[in-house]
Amino acid sequence: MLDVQGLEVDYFSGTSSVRATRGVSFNVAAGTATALVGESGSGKSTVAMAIMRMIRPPTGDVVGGRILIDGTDVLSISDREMREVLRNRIGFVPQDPTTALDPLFPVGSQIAEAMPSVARGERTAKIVDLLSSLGIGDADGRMRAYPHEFSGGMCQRVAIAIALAGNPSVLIADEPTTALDVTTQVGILRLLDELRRERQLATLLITHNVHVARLLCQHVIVMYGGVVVESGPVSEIMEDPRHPYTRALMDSSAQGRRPREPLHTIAGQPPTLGDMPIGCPFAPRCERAHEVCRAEMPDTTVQGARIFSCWNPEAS
Amino acid sequence: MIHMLETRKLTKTYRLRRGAEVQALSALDLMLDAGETLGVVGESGSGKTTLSRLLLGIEAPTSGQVLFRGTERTQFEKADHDSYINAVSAVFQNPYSSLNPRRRLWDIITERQAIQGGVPRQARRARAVDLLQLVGLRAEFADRFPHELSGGQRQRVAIARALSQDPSVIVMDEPMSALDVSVSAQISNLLLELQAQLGVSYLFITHDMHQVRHLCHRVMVLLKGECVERGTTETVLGSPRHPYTRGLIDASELRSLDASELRSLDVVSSTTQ
Amino acid sequence: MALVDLVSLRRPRARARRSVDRLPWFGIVVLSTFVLAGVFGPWMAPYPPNKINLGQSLLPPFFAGGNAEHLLGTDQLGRDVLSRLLSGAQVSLLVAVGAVMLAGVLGTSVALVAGYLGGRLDTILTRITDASMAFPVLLLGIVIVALYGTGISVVILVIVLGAWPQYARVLRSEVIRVRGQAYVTMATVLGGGARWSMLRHVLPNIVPTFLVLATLQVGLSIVAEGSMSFLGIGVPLPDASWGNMLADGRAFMRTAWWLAVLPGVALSLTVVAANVVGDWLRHFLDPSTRTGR
Repeated sequence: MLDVQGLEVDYFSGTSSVRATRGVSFNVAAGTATALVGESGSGKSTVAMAIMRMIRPPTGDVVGGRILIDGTDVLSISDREMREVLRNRIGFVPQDPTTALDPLFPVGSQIAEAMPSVARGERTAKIVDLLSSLGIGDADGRMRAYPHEFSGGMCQRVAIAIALAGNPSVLIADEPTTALDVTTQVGILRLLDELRRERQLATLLITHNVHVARLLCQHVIVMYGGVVVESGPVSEIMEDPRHPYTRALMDSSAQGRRPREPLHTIAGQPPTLGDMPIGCPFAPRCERAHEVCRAEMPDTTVQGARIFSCWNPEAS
Repeated sequence: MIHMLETRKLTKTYRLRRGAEVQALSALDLMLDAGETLGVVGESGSGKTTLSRLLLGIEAPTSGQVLFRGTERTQFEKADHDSYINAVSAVFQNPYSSLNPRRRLWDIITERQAIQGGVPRQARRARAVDLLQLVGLRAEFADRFPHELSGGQRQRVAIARALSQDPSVIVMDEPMSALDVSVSAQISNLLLELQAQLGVSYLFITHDMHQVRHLCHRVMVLLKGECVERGTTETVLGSPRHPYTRGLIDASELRSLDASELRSLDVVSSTTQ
Repeated sequence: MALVDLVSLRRPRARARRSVDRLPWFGIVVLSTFVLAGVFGPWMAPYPPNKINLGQSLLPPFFAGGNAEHLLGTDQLGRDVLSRLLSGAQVSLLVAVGAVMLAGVLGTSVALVAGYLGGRLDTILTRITDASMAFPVLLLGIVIVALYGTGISVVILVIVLGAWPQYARVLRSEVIRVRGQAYVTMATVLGGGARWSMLRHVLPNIVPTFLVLATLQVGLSIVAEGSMSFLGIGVPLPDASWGNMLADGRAFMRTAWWLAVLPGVALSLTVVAANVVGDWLRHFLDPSTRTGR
């Protein structure tokens, strides 16, 4: 399972640094899926990269908090131990499947690379098993094929195979279906759902698409400007959002709107890291903002199973 | 009846090495009139990108015709070609590669005027400022470079550029695919406003059924180079007849499908790949 | 190390902002000295550079036991090294600038045409480029000198023949990369022809790579001139050039080290300066390190 506590990440730029995430806390239990929802600049990708300890000097660094994977704080272990964790406990599914695979090597060998602890003789059998279970027919033949011979959806299945090769307990999927055709997306989503249940994976799904989040996940974490603005059970949050940003996000989707009727939009743009407002990061664009919002970061309110961070939340 | 933009049996075949051929577009008929938005829906391999390239003159068709206000393109005189370029403009998908990073925004927006010549720089810059304000950006953006803008702002600049020649039609190839949801909504609203204000038509290529419902009067669905369904948006989205259309709508809605529908979806999608 | 490695276009924005604010003084000072020496050298020289004075031969520089009359010493024929360095600067300057510019123009043109227009023309031009790279240019130089005698023009010609394919090959890839960008397609849609796109869109966007190549070539040209002098087909003696001073001085490395080392130092400083200034220029021209505000 995955437990993030008070994560603070900085990016370095010249001699100064900017805070990319502030006090991010959440956990993902085994066998459940949590969506990390946010737009560009929200900090969601930063959180994922930080969990895998891929944010290091000179680009940036984790400057506060803890990240526990199956009980081990990965921020306090050595590089060698972290590589071990990445091999055997975390699986990562990247956004663009076609560039995630090395075009020069057959897919089978790339999956094999991800299972170094398996004896050479047993690898082929394991790879064939893995590929077939992920819906790739004729796995024995296909494992010798090169990435360019696969379609986008198939490449993503191979990428998932690589992620699962080390038998991880945590699966991090970064916008796994954004680069795929719409009809392919459904298949991949169903696959991720099955895998979560069969292997009891703690799944962290990073996405900007709230509908994907609702379909696949039990919990959702909404991020804006580096901060968690709301989190809780997915249906509760989406049907009855408390935080104005969450509400605005639900409203700006074109789903369910009448034809040719203007959509609800959020005026302005998300803040850049260097330009973060004091107080609540959403205040400049929020219709419900008061003076206190612009001066002070809101406290976190716990309400049943959900958490939100707002001085002036939406009514129920 | 004379349509503003029309294609008749438009076909494009690509020849690969070893004698193999790919039929990117097969005998496509299409009509677009003033002030309306026609949605062209398809996934990769459907021929939608080929269609836009043919309409924009980037490539020539293998056979078939493109007609503008009743005149066939191959019959164009020199002046007609110029008029066509002015009348049919474009907005591309990727806001990060559609603007020359080494030029200022006013220069980018009025490139058509620069190509045609005869317009002094000051006049071009003034026009660019007008267009920037039309798409919701402040005048001071005129002297900026693309890297200073976000994705949504860049797409607005691309739209401003498309409007600079007073077009009758704007061909848009997945203009919101690379943008965040809330930004996408802003652009969508902008397009509606501009159409109401200026009466410009859109040929809107997308794979997103929600955008179709929001923006398009009529829609056509492409599969492997052929149109498998067409009609008004209400009809096609409300009661789709072709299974592929149904599959696209279901996938966009992300409703859970039962096993048999899912299996038939797989067959369709694997043949498009 | 392949040229391709050297021209990878990483743009560290934060760092660039600092170097744009701080002019590359070292590079500017050295290059200015070089240019001044090149333009005014012969007149600034304390002695006529070719004047032979056998009684004063092989005097060391003042910091190595010599006297103030010959600050940097004399060579085996008693000619003043400082004077020769100054007048030699002129030759080297001409060679470096001339060769770099001509090779650059030729190579870039070929790259533009081949990369943008593609097809048969591309195939032909690429074959010519590859053949030129394989060609023993120095041998050709010997033939030319045998037919037409030595001189700066011959030196420049030979260096250009050897250098232009580098530009052509590397820049062709860049041209192809830029051609694939949506803004170039857009220019076609807007009615801009091949010439419009090549000059307005492609050329400005391959400038960074060009600058990296050009600054490298400055040093390589001067050294190449030296090789040619060594073979006897360079700048004709007795006129000095840094290259032929290097070549001649090799024989005296044990007895009069300054004869080769001093021109070598001048050359190294110039190359480093050219690289520093070229790098700064690349950042300066990059819009992402400056704003319109």
